[in-house]
Amino acid sequence: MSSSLRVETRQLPEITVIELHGDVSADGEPEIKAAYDAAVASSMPTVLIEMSGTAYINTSGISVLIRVAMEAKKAGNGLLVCGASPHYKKVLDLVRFSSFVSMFDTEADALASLS
Amino acid sequence: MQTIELKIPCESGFEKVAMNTAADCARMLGMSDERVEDVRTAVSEACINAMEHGNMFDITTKVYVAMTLDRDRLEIDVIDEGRSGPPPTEVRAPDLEAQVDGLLPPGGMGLFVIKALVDEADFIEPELGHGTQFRMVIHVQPKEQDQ
Repeated sequence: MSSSLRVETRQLPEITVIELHGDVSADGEPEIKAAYDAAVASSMPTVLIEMSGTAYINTSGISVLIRVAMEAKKAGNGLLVCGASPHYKKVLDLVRFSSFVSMFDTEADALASLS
Repeated sequence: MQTIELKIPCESGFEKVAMNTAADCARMLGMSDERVEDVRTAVSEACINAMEHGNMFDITTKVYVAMTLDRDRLEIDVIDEGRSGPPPTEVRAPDLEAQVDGLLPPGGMGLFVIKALVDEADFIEPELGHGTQFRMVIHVQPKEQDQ
């Protein structure tokens, strides 16, 4: 089955925002990886993954996010995540994803943390 | 007591059919929205495990899901072909630090998440005599029944 994930990228003065719309699963890895690679190739290597448009995340999708976190850590780039629903925030907390990536309720909260 | 049975293709994405049906069952039993979300995620993860480990993503196979609604509980069985051998006997918390550091491959979170979200979750002796059978039980909380 093809990926039902749509990825949109926005460039802000201090950060690149990657919006995930739809399902975050292993099927969406190529799109997420391509968006992340393009973002860090720009002059704004700090990336915010915005998930408020995400309706479904499974642990294969969390593994994709871990691979992005791995790359960010290796390159010394900043990575933030925002907008996960309360349920998916609970799941991300369960696996301790939030111990390794800064998570925020909203994009505004994430941007405020940079200033 | 009512039972709903599904046979889903062994292909990523079809776990959502089982997940959404299970969510409907949980709602019919009067479970809270938060509990319904827990059921959705647990069923999705169990089906993905069955596809990946039990059926090795062989598209000629199916994953069988049975949901039994009782007055105060929802029991969900996910059955695969057991191709990866005996199921794990122990479930450990994933070591995300090692995964983020690249020392371990990302993954190994599904069973851990399921066990944290539902009341009971275990591999049981397969009732059909073959394959792997994973059973989850979610109790309806008394508070939820009053709503």
